[in-house]
Amino acid sequence: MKNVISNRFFLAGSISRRSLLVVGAGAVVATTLPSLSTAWAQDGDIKVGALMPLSGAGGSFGQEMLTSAKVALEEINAAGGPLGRKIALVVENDETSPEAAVRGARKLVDVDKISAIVGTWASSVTLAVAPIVQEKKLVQLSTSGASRITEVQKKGHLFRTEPDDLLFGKAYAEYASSQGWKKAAVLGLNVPFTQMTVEAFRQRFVERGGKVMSFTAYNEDQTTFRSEVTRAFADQPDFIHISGYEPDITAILKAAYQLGLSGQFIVPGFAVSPGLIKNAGPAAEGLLLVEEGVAEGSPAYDRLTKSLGGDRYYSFGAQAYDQLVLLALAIEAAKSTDGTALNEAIKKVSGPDGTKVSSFAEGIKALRNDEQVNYEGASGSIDFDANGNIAKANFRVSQVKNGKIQPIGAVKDVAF
Amino acid sequence: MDELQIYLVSALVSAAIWTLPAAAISLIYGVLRYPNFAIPEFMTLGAYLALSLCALSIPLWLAALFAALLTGLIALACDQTIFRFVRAAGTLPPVLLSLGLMLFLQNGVRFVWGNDVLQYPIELARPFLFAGFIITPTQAAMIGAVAVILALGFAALRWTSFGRAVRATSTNPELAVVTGIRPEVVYGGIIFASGFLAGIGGVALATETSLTPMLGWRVLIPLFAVAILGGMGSITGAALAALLLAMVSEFSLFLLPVTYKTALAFLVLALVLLVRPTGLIRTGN
Repeated sequence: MKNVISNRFFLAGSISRRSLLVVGAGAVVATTLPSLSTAWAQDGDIKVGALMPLSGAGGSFGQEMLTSAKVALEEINAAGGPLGRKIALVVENDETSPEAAVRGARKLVDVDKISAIVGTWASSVTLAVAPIVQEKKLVQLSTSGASRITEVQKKGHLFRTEPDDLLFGKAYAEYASSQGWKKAAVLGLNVPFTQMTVEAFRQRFVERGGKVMSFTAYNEDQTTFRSEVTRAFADQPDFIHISGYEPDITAILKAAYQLGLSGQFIVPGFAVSPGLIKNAGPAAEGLLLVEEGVAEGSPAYDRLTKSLGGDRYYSFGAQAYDQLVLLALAIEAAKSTDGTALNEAIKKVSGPDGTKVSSFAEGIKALRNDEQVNYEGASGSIDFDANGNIAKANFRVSQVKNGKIQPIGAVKDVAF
Repeated sequence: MDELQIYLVSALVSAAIWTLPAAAISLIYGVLRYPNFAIPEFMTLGAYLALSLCALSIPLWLAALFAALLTGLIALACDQTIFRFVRAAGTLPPVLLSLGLMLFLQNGVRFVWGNDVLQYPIELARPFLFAGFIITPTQAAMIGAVAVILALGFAALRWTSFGRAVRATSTNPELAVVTGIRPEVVYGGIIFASGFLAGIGGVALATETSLTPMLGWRVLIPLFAVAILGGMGSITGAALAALLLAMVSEFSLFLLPVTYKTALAFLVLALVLLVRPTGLIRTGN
């Protein structure tokens, strides 16, 4: 999903005025911040690279992730740090671009000698950085969703706190069957990413006794979506799942409205911005969106929202927070900063076996009592499978009501 | 709900969007003898200009008209400042210039209006039923407006002295000069008209989809397919070709997966050109 957002961003081969400014500002930040944070680092500190999209398509998420990681950093160092050493964060801006990310990763690895990288957000960035991390046998934690990454993860050293795109597909299916809906129609943008999630959706929906009445693919350069929408509505489905991005989903919602049709649409949360709701107006009313969940009400998420002001839904922030805590716990558990040892230790401290802990302070206490710990984080319970993907993902379901996005439910423990 | 009628209206909508900009490409090729790749970007420009005019609480139809006139003037300004000096240099220089202008306009739009997806401030309307056809007032107005502009363009080419000058220049430039036609006036008029047509097409496309800096770029290929299929230089040809290609691509949904929708349009293009190498309507000598 995000990989394609960034791909689109670069395929477009252009940068808006606003993002130019951000890139410019980001470049300044990128050149000043690392030197600053390296200056903070003292001998004996464990250096961790925060490679985040501080500008570009993922700019707003990157900022959120960085502030969240700093919340975790403060907590970790306040509790004495792993192995009695402090953690120092070395920040690099990946500009939501694989090229910039590789430059940043090289610097982190060769100059700063970091032990791990947290925060790669765009899938294209994660895929570009992974070989560098794997070659040096370090550890990387990412918030990317693309299923292709699983193949790369089989070589180890790469973990993802974001549900895989396939889990998204299954989450739509599980939510729909939990509502008692039996007949689905699917509209999918004609790109490889949608074919995989749609296939995952179909498989899970059929398992739960549902039936996919039609799958209609469309191209993003179409001038009108009337025919595709008509086809999707033809079998009177209980709901229609659209697998695509903001511009085409907007156009499809409008086309349905303009054809006088009303139906229940389910779309990916990442495709719905306030812009979509404004642009589609009455056509967006009742739209359901499914997005990656957080562990609402968990101690970790409560602490994070308190520190950040609590004015938003911090899904990627919660993941960045968890990544740093997991890493710190793993260092303590492995009694080492060696990447090969961490590769095993991260899996172990993520659970599902062991004493449940929800902060670094609790975790380190348990570890020093020679207990095995199971970190339950701000983004979810985070139990990594053999590939380093979260085995069971939580999702939040929201609905557009009177032009506002309101959470209405959740899909819990979605597994591969 | 009758699927057939819905596909028919969809095809009409697509055809209405494609016709005018394709006619612009066709006219420029017919008279100035080069394919102008900047036309889709003039669509984008026109669409955004109309948006800015709408912000001054001018109704969309009037804003579209003004924006198209403005786009025409900007096209004319580009022609007079850049293209004019390479007229004598053959086909390649203006083609390359138009490619450069295309990139410049696209990124200019990004610079001024940003990258966000925008929308005209018109109420999204529920459709009405007209003789079994489901259509919204906006779509009906759009198809009607395009038909009127098409008819006016056709009449202007046929029955005005400027139209005669255009046809003469397109058929035989040297002879036209000898008979006292000033080619620069014809060129300027054609470029202005093309900018105008592209501007209207851009607004039409944006009402049906939404405004993004990629608006025109995304229809570049269908536009050229329509212009070539119609026979370069013919307005009627462009209209017929737009209708044919739109029908084929909409009705293809009955038979083929959508993956082949664009490919099918090219198959039709290839087949028609095999039988009629000059396109649907033959122009020139």
